[in-house]
Amino acid sequence: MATIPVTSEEPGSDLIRYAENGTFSAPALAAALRLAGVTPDAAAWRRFFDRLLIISGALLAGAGVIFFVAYNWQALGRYARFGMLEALILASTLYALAAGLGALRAQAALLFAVLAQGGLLALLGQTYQTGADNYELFLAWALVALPWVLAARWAPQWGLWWTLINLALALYLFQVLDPLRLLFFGRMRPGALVLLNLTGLAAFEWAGVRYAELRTRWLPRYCGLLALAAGTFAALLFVLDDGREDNGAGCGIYLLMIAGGAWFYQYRRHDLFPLAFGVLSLIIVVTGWVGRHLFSSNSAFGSLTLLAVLVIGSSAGATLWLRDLNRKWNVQAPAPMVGPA
Amino acid sequence: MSAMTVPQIFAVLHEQGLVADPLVPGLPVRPLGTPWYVRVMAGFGAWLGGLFLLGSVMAILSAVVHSSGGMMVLGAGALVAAYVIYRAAGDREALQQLALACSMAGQFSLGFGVEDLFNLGTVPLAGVLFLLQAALTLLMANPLHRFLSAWFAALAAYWFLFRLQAESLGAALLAASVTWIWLNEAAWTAARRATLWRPVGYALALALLFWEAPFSIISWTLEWGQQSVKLGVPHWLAAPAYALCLAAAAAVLARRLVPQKTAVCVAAALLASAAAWLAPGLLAALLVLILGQAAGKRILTGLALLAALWYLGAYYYQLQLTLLEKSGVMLGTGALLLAMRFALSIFWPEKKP
Repeated sequence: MATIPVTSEEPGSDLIRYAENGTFSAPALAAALRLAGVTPDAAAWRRFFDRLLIISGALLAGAGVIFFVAYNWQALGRYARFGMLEALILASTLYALAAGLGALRAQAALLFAVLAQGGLLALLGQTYQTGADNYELFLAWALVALPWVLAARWAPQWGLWWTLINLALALYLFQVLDPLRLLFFGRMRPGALVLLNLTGLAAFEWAGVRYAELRTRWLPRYCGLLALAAGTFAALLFVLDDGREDNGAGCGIYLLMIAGGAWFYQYRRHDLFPLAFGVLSLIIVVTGWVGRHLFSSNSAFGSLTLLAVLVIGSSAGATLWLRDLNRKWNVQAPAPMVGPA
Repeated sequence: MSAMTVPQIFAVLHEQGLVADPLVPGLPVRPLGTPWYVRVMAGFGAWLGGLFLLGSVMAILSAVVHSSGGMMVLGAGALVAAYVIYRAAGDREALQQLALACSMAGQFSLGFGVEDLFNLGTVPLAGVLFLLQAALTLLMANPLHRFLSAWFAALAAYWFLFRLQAESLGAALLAASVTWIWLNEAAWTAARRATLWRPVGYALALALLFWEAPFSIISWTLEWGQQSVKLGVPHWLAAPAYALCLAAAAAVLARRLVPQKTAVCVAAALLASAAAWLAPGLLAALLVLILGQAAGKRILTGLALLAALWYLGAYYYQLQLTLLEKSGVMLGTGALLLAMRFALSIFWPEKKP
């Protein structure tokens, strides 16, 4: 069973306690935190700036290219614009290959190439008026970018790619299933987004165990949050509208996700994060369901009192449960006393 | 340098004359802390529960709540009750949750009562709410309550200043406060003020990131209400304020670690600020990112990165510049950052192990 390092404490909390009990003065605490690796020393700052400058530089330059295409500058001919974007993609890809895939500057160059591909596809639609829906742009972008994402072997690149996939599906649901923008939420099938993100969650959990470059918690957590948000929406639509808007399937998927997630993250992979947000989502849905039935048959006072007791009680109970789990997991796999979390 | 263990740290500090005894003193056992995301869940529950609680009390005391004074007394009573429950709660989560819900209900009730009785209008009401939240930040000795109160105080301040067309003044004050708080963590911790300053520091950093967030819900909801006095503080004031704070942070941090490079660090901070001058949200995010990194707070660095991405996405829709100009800002800033990285590799080469 994989155990996620529990980081419930402020990093260096033991050192902070020595300052609070008077053992450390302010300069001693500052030095202790630095020695423990909680706050950065000069070398750590250098690494930080190295990463920050190259990644943000590539990101801003890529965004600048997209903004440039969106401006649709007529002073520049279509071939010049296509040529410029293709040259940028080619040059950044060649640079990444020359730098050696896996190196930070190669990853930043591939990030720039992926962003420029979005600009190129937008330019294609803009120039030839392909009539494509927005979701097709994002879907095409995600498909075209996949080889670069695979080559980069870098979690942030996968995060961007997963966002493109989600945008493609969300825009399809919004623009194709509700073409008149009448906000027929029931027709939009948010359950589809839940299924998509549960697939992503499973894939990133699986890959995180096998590939060092994807050994990060934020990717599965990101998928989990997206799945929970869409699932909460589907379930709320169902319980607040007596199921008339045909979200029964979405609500069913949501309930299965909550039950499966509670089991998996409690017994297979210890992670409080999805459990906490799962509980939060469940509190919202149950409150909606109970509230709908209470207000239709009871006095305002009785309904509001019961809801207050329900919400305060369930959130307090959930906090106790999560803290208890945290305690148990720390006994089984104690976190290092001091060190980077 | 790899992280040291506690005994190694005490030995080094003893050598440097920072602690008297090289032996590690024992610490009393205490329960584990609560992760931030569990606090988010608990805070939301208390907020929603507080609303229902208030509605419930209003439903039974309809005679009271029809009077403004009654609402105020009810609100003040709920706040006193929350204070007392917190004092008695200790580590008991259920009581802490009840106290927070009571306080939320009290704040709503008191706010409605004050507005109804005095018919204050938007700006004075925002001022009163700011003072109330600031007082609660000081009085309620609970980290989650302090975080929420400081956050609400910042929102009220934004509302107040936005109506006076002086939100850039607030941005400057907020940036200076956040910079001061996170550069002095060791000092306020050693002075045993961490229970106050840590939640306030997180809340104000979050508020600073929201301050420049375009299309935030706050901006949309502030348009209602009657017109008020306009101070007309120019909006451009925010960017130099962020730049100054960034330069100050660079100077303080460089003096602590690499004093001989202080001038270079300050110059780099000012250069980055000049490049992002037309995108102040990126500057605010950069400030929080640097402060979060300096304090070793991953939540702050994560929030700053998310805010920067959000700002970048929303920047596309801002109307004060054309897309071509914005493209120029982005490409220019990106090129400058890459050039700075190149300069970094030359003037501050990585030491090989």
